[in-house]
Amino acid sequence: MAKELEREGIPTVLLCNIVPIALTVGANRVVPTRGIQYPTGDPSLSREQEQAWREHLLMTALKALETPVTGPTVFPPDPKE
Amino acid sequence: MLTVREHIVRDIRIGGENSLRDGLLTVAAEQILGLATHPVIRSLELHVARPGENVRIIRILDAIQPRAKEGDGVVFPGFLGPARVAAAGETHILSGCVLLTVSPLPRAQEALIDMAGPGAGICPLAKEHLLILEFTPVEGAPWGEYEAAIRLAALRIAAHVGGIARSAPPDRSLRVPPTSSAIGLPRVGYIYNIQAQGSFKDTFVYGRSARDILQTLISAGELLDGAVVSGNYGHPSLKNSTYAHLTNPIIRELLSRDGDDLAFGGIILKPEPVTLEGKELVAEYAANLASLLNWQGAIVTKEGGGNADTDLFLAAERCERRGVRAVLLMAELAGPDGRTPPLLGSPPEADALVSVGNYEEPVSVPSVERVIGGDSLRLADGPVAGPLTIPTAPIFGALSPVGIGSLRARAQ
Amino acid sequence: MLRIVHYINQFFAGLGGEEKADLKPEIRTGPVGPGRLLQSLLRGKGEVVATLICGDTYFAEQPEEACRRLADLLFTLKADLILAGPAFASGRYGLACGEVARMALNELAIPAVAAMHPENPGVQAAAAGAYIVPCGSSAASMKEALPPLLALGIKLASGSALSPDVDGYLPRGIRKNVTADLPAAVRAVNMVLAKIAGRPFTSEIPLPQFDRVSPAPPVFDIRQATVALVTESGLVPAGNPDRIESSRASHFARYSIGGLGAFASGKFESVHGGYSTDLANADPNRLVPLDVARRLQGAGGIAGLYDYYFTTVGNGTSVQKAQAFGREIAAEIRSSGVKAAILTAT
Repeated sequence: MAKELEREGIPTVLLCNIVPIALTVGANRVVPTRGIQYPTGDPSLSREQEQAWREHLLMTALKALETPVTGPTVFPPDPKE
Repeated sequence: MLTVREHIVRDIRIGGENSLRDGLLTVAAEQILGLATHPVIRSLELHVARPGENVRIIRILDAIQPRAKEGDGVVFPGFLGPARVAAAGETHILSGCVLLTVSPLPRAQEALIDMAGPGAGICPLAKEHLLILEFTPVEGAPWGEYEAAIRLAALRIAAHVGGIARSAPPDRSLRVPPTSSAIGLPRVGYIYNIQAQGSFKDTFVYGRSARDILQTLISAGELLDGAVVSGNYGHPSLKNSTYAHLTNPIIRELLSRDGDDLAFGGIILKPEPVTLEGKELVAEYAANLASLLNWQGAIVTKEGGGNADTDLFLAAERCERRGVRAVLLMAELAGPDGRTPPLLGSPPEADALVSVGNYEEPVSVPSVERVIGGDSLRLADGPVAGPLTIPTAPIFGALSPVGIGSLRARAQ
Repeated sequence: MLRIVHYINQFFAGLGGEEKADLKPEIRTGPVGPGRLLQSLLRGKGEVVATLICGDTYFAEQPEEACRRLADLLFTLKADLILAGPAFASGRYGLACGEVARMALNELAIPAVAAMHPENPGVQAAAAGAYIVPCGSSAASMKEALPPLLALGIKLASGSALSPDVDGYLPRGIRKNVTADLPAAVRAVNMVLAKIAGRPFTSEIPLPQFDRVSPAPPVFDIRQATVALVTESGLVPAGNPDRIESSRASHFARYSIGGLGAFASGKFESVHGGYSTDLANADPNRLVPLDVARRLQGAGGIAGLYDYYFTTVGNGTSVQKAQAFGREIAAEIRSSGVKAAILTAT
């Protein structure tokens, strides 16, 4: 789906855990996340920490949408966040 | 050393006594019902379905091959007795006979078995005599508690029915050594992925969820005694039912060829974590174990849908990097018309794949006389006994990742 | 008696070379050119009742129109079998032969086979379902090329089951479930022993080749952009009003998030069948980050969110379906002025 959206000219960032599949399939902007069951969360954190992590992921994603790429590219979030 | 006493069941009857004579298994209903008393179980109804009968079974949760220890050992350790490693003494198994757990369960994906017709031709369970345990929950029972209760009841019943064989002469006996003594032959092991993600998608090892385990070595005898039990209700065709764990064809093949053209290097039981970080860790760890064990080759199987393919691919990548040659068993997602490229991204190391069939190929099955398990179907509109066209995916065990089915996909 | 129609180009019909390559489709009764050799090979088992001829350039420039005209010509012929070529290494002729074989089989349900060199670009029709038998690269090998073409055609027309390994045609890229000759476990052990010994082995599943999509240009300033939220995590309003399937989803749905500050547990849930959904159901913003997106919107990080989010289940969902979903979603949000999309996947 990410590829089709990009094919139609809409920059699309894919947030997912299984990055190798995303890259081999050819998604162009990929932000790796912490678990299959929670692409924009991390249940091991407290509520506040999880919110902060989600915000950081989203900021990373927005940055990816503003970045020119030439092919499948990973935008890693800062693991310390 | 474990000795397996195999008894071949050719028919099942529900009657007033327990006996196994000339392949005819008779079970007393009262005793079985007594093994399923629990506050959240409202009722248990027994049915028999035989190969070739015009019957359809739905809402299938699990399948179990009955077995019992000779003497005072336990099968399904961790559930029916202390979690001790046995894999010694004698285990009676009933082949040709399978217990099927059937019940409503909201989180279970719909499964189906037709005992006759084209659906039966591709379903490994349709070749077995089935003793069907149809459970109903009490109203308002918590589903998690109910699922655990019927799982335990079914294991008890499997051990009870298996026990009927103790007094009968076996048809075949098989000796299962804990390790191979073959020398001078290529050492081939088995990396056995199991899916354990928590409730309704779980696999139990010695009675415990394998959700957070690192991989471990396990012997064929332990699996034959029921050390691994399924609590996984996703993907009926792509999961490893308890029956698949008990009869795993990869293990049987490696055992039977041990000393002939290979040395059976052992079994690495490996979880499928739900994070990439976790998947990479277990892949690395499994490959490292394989090389510590001096394997030259590994067969790798999976459980579940797309994300488990990553577990296969990573295992292949890490094994090959250590010089352990990997072969993977996989179902294909080639689309209903077979025209979609069948694989998601795979590394170049994953170059030896055995197909167990296309998940999406439609199967048309005719109407049936009798349906066991419910009066409606979530798979398709129309009457549950009516003719159906469904993907191969819901047919129980049809695309078994460990190869209990008979399908493969081929370019035509 | 098998009624065979033979397809050839202007050159093999003896009508001329490049100067006649824009010839429109036409029909001749009986065999023409290499068709005469086919007729003699038939030895009474069938008859070349007609020959269809088309110029290579004409076909290459308007393949759909050429196919339509050829289909019209075929209409009254009651053909049991169509044979195309051999095209040898001739590219445009090969494309036409492959397309004629594909069209006849897939659209007219008439058994059809083409012959060409394996490196002819026309072999791409095999991936779309055409039967193509390989042959040499030049017309000097005509005598060797015709018997396999005819043999496969006769077998196909008889309705026998075929396989590329046995019948020698190029794999058609169509996967079909069959009962295996040997159990998977036996094949797997045989394969690993071959691999260890360095003996040749063949993977039963072809290795993938995905198409690449040129990246969309980035958003110039995300603070000025309206963004759409899309997910394949199966997040739906409680009760799953549009009955999205837990696997092999047949559709996607869109739900309003206008006025919503976050996804509330209990009001939204995941119906994805591929993972344990407890953690997501406890806080659905773990699947689609609506709460934080709203906060960023309030702080000026983005101009706005599209009024709906799009959802489906990416569990065993075919690539074709996912592509169709992506295209439909793109069409909707583009016309609404959305500049970018955030897609979450489980």
